Amino acid sequence: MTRSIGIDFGTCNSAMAYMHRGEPRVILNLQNMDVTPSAVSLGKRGELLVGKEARNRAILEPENTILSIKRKIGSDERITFNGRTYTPTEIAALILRKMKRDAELRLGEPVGRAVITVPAYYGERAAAATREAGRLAGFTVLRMINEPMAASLAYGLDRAPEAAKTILVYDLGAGTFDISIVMLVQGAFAVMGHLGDTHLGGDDFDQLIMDYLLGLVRTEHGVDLSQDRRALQKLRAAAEEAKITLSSQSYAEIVLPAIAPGVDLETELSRSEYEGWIRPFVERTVELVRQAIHEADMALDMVDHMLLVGGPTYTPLVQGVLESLVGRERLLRRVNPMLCVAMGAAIQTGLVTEIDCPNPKCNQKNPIDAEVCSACGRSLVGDQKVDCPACFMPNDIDRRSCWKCGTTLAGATPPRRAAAATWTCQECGKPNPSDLAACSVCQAPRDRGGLRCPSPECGYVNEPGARSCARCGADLVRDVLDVTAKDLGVELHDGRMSAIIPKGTGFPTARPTTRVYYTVADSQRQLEVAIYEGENPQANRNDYCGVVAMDLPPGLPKGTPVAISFDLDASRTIYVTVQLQDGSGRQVQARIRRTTMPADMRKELEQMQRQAEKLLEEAQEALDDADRRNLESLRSEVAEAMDSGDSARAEQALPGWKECLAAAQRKADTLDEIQHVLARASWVVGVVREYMEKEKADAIARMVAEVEAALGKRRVEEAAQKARALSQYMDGLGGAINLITYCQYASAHPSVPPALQSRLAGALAELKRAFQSNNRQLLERKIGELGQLLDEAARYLNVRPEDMASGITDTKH
Amino acid sequence: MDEPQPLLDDPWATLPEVLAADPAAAMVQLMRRCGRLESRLEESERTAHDTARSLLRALLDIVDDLDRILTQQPVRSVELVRKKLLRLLERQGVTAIGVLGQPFDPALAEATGEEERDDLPDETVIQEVVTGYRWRGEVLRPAVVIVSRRAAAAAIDAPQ
Repeated sequence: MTRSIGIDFGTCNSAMAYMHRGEPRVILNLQNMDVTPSAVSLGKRGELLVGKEARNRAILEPENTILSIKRKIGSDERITFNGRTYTPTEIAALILRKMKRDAELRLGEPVGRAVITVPAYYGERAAAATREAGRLAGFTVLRMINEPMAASLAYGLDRAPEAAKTILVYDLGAGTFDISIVMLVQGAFAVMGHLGDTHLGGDDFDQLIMDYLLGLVRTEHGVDLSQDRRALQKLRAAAEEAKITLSSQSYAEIVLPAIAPGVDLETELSRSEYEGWIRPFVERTVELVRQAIHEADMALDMVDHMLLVGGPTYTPLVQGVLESLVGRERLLRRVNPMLCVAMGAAIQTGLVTEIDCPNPKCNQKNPIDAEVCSACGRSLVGDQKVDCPACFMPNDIDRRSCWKCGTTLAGATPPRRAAAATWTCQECGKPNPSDLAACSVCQAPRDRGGLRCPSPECGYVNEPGARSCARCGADLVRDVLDVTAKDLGVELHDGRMSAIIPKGTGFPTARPTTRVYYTVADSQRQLEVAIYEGENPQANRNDYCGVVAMDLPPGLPKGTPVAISFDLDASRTIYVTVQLQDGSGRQVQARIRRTTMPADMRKELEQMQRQAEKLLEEAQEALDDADRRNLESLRSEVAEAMDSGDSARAEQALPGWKECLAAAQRKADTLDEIQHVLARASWVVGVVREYMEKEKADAIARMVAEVEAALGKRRVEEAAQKARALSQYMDGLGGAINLITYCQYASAHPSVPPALQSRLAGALAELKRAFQSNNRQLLERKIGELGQLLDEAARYLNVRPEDMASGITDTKH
Repeated sequence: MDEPQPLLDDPWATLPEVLAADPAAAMVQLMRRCGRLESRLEESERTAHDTARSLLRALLDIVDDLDRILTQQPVRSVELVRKKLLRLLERQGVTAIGVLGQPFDPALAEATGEEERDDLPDETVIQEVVTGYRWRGEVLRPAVVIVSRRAAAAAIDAPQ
C-alpha cells in the first residue's frame, strides 16, 4: 500500500499535492509552507540543506548554494557542490527526496509514487532527466505530464463535453513567464504552441515598489537606506505586503515609523500608480501572448479558455488586461494559481490506470494496484533508499557502498518514516489497523487517492485508476491522452522525412499506424529505417530516435512494398514493425526507447551493436571462443548503456569496445578473403577446368587442399598466406580463363538480374560449343561478347556493402 | 412510592420508517456524518490557524516599529505600549527565538550578511536584523541575522 503524490517541480519553488477524498489537496512541508524553495545548500558541518533552510544560508555559502536547477536539467552541464561533481538530475533528485520525505511524514504513510510535471517546451532529454531525478529520489514515476496539462486538469477542463477546446495557459511565476497553447479533444491533449521569457516574473514587481520607497526616503528625508540592512529588510517586507494589499484594494498604506534615525516613512501607494509602473511588464506579456497565438497559426477568438498560473497573476492589472483581451467568461481563475499545477498532477495520480515497469529492460505494463512488476519483480511502489552521508545521493537500501562516490553505507540508516500503524477512516473518523482495506465500523473503503464520482447524488470516492464509479456506475474515465508534439517518421533514401505518426496524435495509440514504402533498387539486400522526430522536411535536421535494420532476400525487384508501422505507448516508447510484403511475411520488430543520450553517440552505439551481431552470426569460424565471449559481453554492455542512457559511462567504455570490435573484424576480414579465393578456385576447378591443362587444374586442387587443411587446424594466418599464393596462381592462368570464371559466377549470382543472367548463360553455352568445335573465330567473338556482358554484370557484383542501397521511398517508381 | 404503570396505550405511534430502519445502517450513516463534520471542523481549525498566524505576524511588525522608535528616542509611554503588546503576544504563545550569540541555525534564521570577527567562533549570530518568533511549535517568523566569519575560517572549520 503506497500513496501517490503530484509534484510541481518549479524553477524557484516546488509544490506537492495528493488526492484526499477525491479532491486534490496541497501537502505542507515540514516548515508548514505550501511551497518548498527549489534550493540546495550546505550546512556549517557539511550537512545537506534543502528548501527554505538552503535559502536562509545562501548568503553564507554562495558557492555551495544551488538555485534554479530546473533551468539546467537535461543539459550536459556539471554542477560542483560540496567539492563533488553532480549532474543537474542528481541535484533535482535531492530536492524531490526532501519532498518525498516531508510528504511521508505529513501523510503518515509511505509515498512511493509520483506524477511530476515538466514545462510544455521540454525536449525528450529534459523530460527523461526529470523522470530520472524522480526515480533517484525513490519514486516510481507514474507519469510525466506537462504543466499546462496539469493546470487544465486542476480546472477540470478535461471533463468538458465532446467539443475540442483550445486553452491558453498564462503562467507568470516569480522569475519566469510561459505561455502554452494547448488543445483538448475528447480526452486527448496537444501542445499547439509555446512561448516564454525566462527572465520576467513577479519578482520584478516587488523590486519596483522597493525602488519607489528608497527613492522616497532619499528625496523627502535626504537619507540613503540602500546600505542599511535592517531598513532594507523592513522595506522589502513592506513592499511585498503593499503588493498583496493592492491586489484587493485600491490603496496601500505603507507606514514604517523610525525606519532610520529621524525618518518616519508614511506613504500611500495607489493602485493606479503601481499599475503604471508594472504596466510595461504586463504589456510585454500580452505582446508575447499575441505572438504565441500568431505563431500557432491561430486567432484570439479561437481560444476557449485562458488559465492563470503563478502567484503574480493575482495582480488585478494582469487579470484586467487579460480580461479585456479575451473577455471575462473565457478567463478562468478559481483555482489557486500558485498551486494549481501541483493539484493537477495530483488529479493525474488518480487517473492513471496502468503502470509501466520502471526497469528499462522490462517495460511491462502492470495494473495500478500491483506492488511489483509481474514480469521482472521490480518494485512498483517506489524504492526504500538510504542517503549517502558523503554525497547525499539516495542509495538502494541493500547497497554496501554509494553508487556515486563509493562511500561505505554501513552506518547510514534509512530516514525515519512515520509508519502508519493505523489509518483514519475518511467517512467516520475511526482509526483502523493498517492491514484493513475498509473501515471496521462503517465499511467505507480506505481512501487510496482515487477520484470522486462526478455525479452530484453519489460523490463516492473510488479506487485510483477506477474506470467507473463503484457505487453508482457513472463514468469516471477521463484518462487524458497525451498527444505527440512533433511528427514521428522515417527517413527516405533521398533524405526527406516521411511522417508515420503525425503531430497531434493521441497516445498511447490504440493500434499501430502503418504506411507502405518501397525498396529503391533492384536486388536490394538490406533495409535501414532511420526514425526521426520533428517537423523539418529534411529528416536529419530532426531529432534522431533510432534505426531498425533488416536483411532482404536476394533478387527482389525495385519497388517491392515494405510496410512500416509505429505504435506509441504512454512513456513514448516507439514499437516499430517493418514487414516485407513480397509474400514471405518476413518482418523485424524493434522497440525504441527515448533516452537522454546524444544522437551521435546513440548512432555510434547502434552501429557497433549491429557490427557485433553480424560478426557473431556470419564469422563464426573466424572467431575463437574468447572472441565470441568478448563480443557477447560487448553486445550486452552496449545494450545496457543504451537502455540506461548513461552517456558518461558509454564514453568511457567506447575505446575498449572499439578495440574489441576491430580485432574481431580483422579476423573476419581475413577469413572472408580466404573464402573468396576458395570460392573462385572451386569455380575454376569445377566449371572451367575443361578449358585448361590438366596439370594446372590439379595444382589448383592441391593448393585448395592445403588452404583447407590450414583452416581445419584453425591456423588462419597460414591459410591466408596459402590463399594469397593460390590467388596469384589463378591470376596467372590468363585473361580468358578468368573471364569465363567470372561470367560463370555472375550467371548464377543472385544480385544479377535474371535477364542478364540468361544472356550470360546463353553466351557461355555458345562459347562452350565454339571451344568444343574448335571454332577459333567464333570463340574469340564470344569472349569479346562475354567481356561486355561481364562489364554490365560488374555493377551488380562489385558493390561494397556501404554503397548498397538500403533506403526506402514513398512512391513505387 | 407508586409502582410505575406499564404503558399500555402509546399515544404516539412509532413512525413506520423508524420501525423499518436498520439500526446498523443508521449507525453507519450517523458515523459517516460525524466523520464529515469532523473533517469540516479540521478544515475550519486550519483556516483559523492561518488567520491567527497572519494576524500575529502583523502584530510582530508593530513590535518592530516600536523597537525602532525606542532605540532612537526612549519614550516611557511607548515603552509601555510595547510591553503590553508583547505580553499579549506571549499569552497567545508567541515567544522570541533567542539566536543572538548562538551558532547560526538555518532552520530558525535567514542570514542576510556576514562580518569578519576573530573573537568569536565562526558563524555566530552577532546581530539580529529582525527578531524571530515561535508560535505553537512552528517558526512564526524566522529571524534575519548577521553572522560572524573568521578570516581563516575555511581552514579551521571546513566541513568534514
